Amino acid sequence: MKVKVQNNFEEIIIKHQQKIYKFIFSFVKNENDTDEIAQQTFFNAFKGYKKFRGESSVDTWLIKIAINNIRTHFRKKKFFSIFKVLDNEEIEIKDLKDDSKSAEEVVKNKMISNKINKAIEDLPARQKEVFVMKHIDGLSISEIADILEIAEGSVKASIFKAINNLRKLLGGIDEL
Amino acid sequence: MNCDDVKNDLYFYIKNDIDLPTKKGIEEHIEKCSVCKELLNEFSKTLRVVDKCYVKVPSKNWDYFAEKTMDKIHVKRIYSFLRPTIGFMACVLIFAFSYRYYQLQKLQTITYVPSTEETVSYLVDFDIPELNE
Ligand SMILES: [Zn+2]
Repeated sequence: MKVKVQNNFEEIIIKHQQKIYKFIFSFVKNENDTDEIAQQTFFNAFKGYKKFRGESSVDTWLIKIAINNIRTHFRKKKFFSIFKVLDNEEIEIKDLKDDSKSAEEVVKNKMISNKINKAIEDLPARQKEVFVMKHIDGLSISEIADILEIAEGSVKASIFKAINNLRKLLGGIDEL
Repeated sequence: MNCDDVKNDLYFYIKNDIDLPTKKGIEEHIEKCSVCKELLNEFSKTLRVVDKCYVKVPSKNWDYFAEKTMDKIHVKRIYSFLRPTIGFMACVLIFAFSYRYYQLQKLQTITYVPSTEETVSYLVDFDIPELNE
């Protein structure tokens, strides 16, 4: 019985890990943290697997667990940032495999990318979650409403607020 | 449509992820409302900037990653079983050591060792026979 549960669960991991990984990465944007959060998510899922009754799809269920772990990650990060004098965390940026770009331009793009990521990260939690899920992960409004257990109207309102805040935060950046 | 309706649908209008009647409603409103028109331009610009920033999802050997995840699950499970036991043992050890320390302290106060001077004067009182004789 135990072996059967484990085999079933391994199948779940194999089937859903890429989507869950991508989902977590869209928030965290760091490979090590994503590895850790993904593995923690599947551990939580494994513990709750017997209780999972299939009220929602496995995807939605896993994403719900993932989002909780992502929130914990950012809470921890915020807490520890008090002790960090300088936040010199660098985000890996796809350096637009374009040889015509000068080193200067690449550096400039990297700085802009960091600023954009920082702006998204600094959004209020609900706005960030909704915006990333919709714009980056491409989830539907009903899926987001289901995952966050809020009304679809609230999802739309949060997207508006998120873009409006990003507009203010990124006001200084010229279009690339 | 009023301004609030339009605002909440602007994103979906820009992404062309909207039904035709709503799309027409927005376009009609924007013709008349300069505030919403300006907002539409600003939002499009913001989203274009956001889209320029693209962080690539790392590529992985997924079979290996699944295996590693299963291993981590086993380790975490063992650890979560052991954790209460380890905690309990630690408590017992701390208790045992502090109890032992307390006992030792008590023993030291009972077996009071007299100071050197007293000991010497005490020993002098003994009549020790000379060995040479
Ligand atoms: Zn308007």
